[in-house]
Amino acid sequence: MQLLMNAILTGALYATLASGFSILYGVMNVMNVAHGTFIMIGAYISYAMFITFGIDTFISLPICGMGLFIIGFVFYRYIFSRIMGVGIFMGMIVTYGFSMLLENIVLLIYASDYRGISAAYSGKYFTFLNINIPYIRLGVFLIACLITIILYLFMRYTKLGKTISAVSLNRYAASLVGIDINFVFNLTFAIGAALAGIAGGLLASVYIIYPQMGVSVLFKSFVVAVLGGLGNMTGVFIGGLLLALFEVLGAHILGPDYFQLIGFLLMVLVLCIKPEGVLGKKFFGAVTSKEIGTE
Amino acid sequence: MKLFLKYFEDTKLIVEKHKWLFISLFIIIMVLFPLYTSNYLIRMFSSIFMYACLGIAMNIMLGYIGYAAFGNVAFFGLSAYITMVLLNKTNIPLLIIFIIAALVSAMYAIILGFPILRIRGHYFAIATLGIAEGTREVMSILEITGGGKGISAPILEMSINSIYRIVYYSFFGLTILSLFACYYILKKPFGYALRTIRGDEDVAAGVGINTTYYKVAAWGISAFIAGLTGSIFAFWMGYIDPVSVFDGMINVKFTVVALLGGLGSVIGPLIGSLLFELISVFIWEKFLDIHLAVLGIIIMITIIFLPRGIMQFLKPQRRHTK
Repeated sequence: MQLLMNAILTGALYATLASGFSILYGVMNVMNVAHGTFIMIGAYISYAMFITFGIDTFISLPICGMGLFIIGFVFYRYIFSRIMGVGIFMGMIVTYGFSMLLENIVLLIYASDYRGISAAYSGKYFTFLNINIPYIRLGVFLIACLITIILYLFMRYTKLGKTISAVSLNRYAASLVGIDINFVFNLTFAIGAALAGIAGGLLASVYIIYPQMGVSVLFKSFVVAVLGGLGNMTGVFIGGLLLALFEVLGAHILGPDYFQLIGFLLMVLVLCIKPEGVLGKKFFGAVTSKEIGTE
Repeated sequence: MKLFLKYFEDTKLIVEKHKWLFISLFIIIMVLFPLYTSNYLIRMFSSIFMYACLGIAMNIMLGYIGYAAFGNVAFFGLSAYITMVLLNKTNIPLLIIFIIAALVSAMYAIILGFPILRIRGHYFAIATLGIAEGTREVMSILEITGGGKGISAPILEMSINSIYRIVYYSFFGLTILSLFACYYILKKPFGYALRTIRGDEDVAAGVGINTTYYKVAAWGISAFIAGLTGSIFAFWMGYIDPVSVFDGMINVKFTVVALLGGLGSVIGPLIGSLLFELISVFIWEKFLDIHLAVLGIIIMITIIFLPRGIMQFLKPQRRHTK
């Protein structure tokens, strides 16, 4: 039972990690390999806030979000927009380049060691029906759920959210109706980055951070996003829970060495059998070759 | 300015016409190269050729078929490991070890290929990344491969100079062979099939091309080349561990090299590698701390301004397509 609880708590976190990635793919059909790096920066912002100003990690979340929002916005506006639609892989590679740039900047400032944050309530937990629930994890879980809910509501019910959803469903039709696609893309990218930032902040409170963590986090987000179906908020949440569940179970049965491997195997399995994931509605094939430029 | 451009165009045409002459010249120069230069340069060029080979392997996948096999480093590393293990435990001659290791990598690609190559586009790219990660994990878990500590090769009774030269010639030879292989592929129906798949896979299937066969074969070839490169690398380094051989940086490097050189061209990766190494070395000297950042910036600039790679400038313009 303890395992189950761990899985649930971690699952929500994973879901938040992946939501930014999922939105980006769903709306713009790009794989942002810099997503992991964005998360890493979010984590470092949180860390910096904590060290320099003593701001609690939960409170610094909006700062993380905003910081990444700005970074994402600027990046899209000046760099990414030039290669939208040039070819499906170009986006990936540009984001890769960008992630290297970012990683280097963080390396310069913070060097390569591991950092951690311990708040006053770090180790404390309460016990409920024989299961231990650390306060921090509970907080992370609640916020993660909150964010997912907010996102869902945003996408469904606000004008901006509906605009974004419209573009994700069919960008040509959306432009016909008068939606400024470039602006939407710009905004979406920034929102995706902000989500990554917030997720990073959350991550910083429970895990150790280091500049190279971008890669493993990216991989996890990808697995979660794929599992749940790219472009779909609820899917992402389910995906997060699924991954956490499988990881925990797998680690329990096979031993802790196989952590990463499980995620990878799971993902490959899902990709082979059902690329749309559990709830995804955006199948890759929907993006026809007309849009994929020649390289 | 116009005159210069015309001159440039004419030069390109001349080079193109007398390709074989220039290629032979190049080969001769490169073969004689190690006799007259310092070890440092030899190492640098070994590195250039190594990345050229990897770039070629990547080019086959990305350039010809259009599948972004970002995880090709898995084959590089796997082969390196097999080489090490074989070196340590058996007495098989070196060349045979290389070939065995590369074959195993190719087998790995073929076996994995069947399920994984069904996945398309972006998904495929990250699936291959996943494979690279997964293979790394497996390597660090198994006992025979030394776990996280890595393996070292037995000490060879050869001077440093000989080793450098052997490595240089191996990489060089591999590059030439791969280039010829690519050239051959381009001209033969096999290459046409690959490029059709790249254009539009469903149409290719509709025309009667057995896409699975070609995809798997291409990946197998790509893995074989990457594998050979990995073996030579293992021999060169004398010590490998999971982190160094499955390094994401290697991945990035050969992707950049392939892109820089221009996808779909034969010589592209070689030129790309040359350029890239030169720039890298320059950056390392002057800007050590920020070399990663500069690399990233180069990547971004390359993508934005040179989507077809440097070959854009080096291939003569065909008049009739103007």
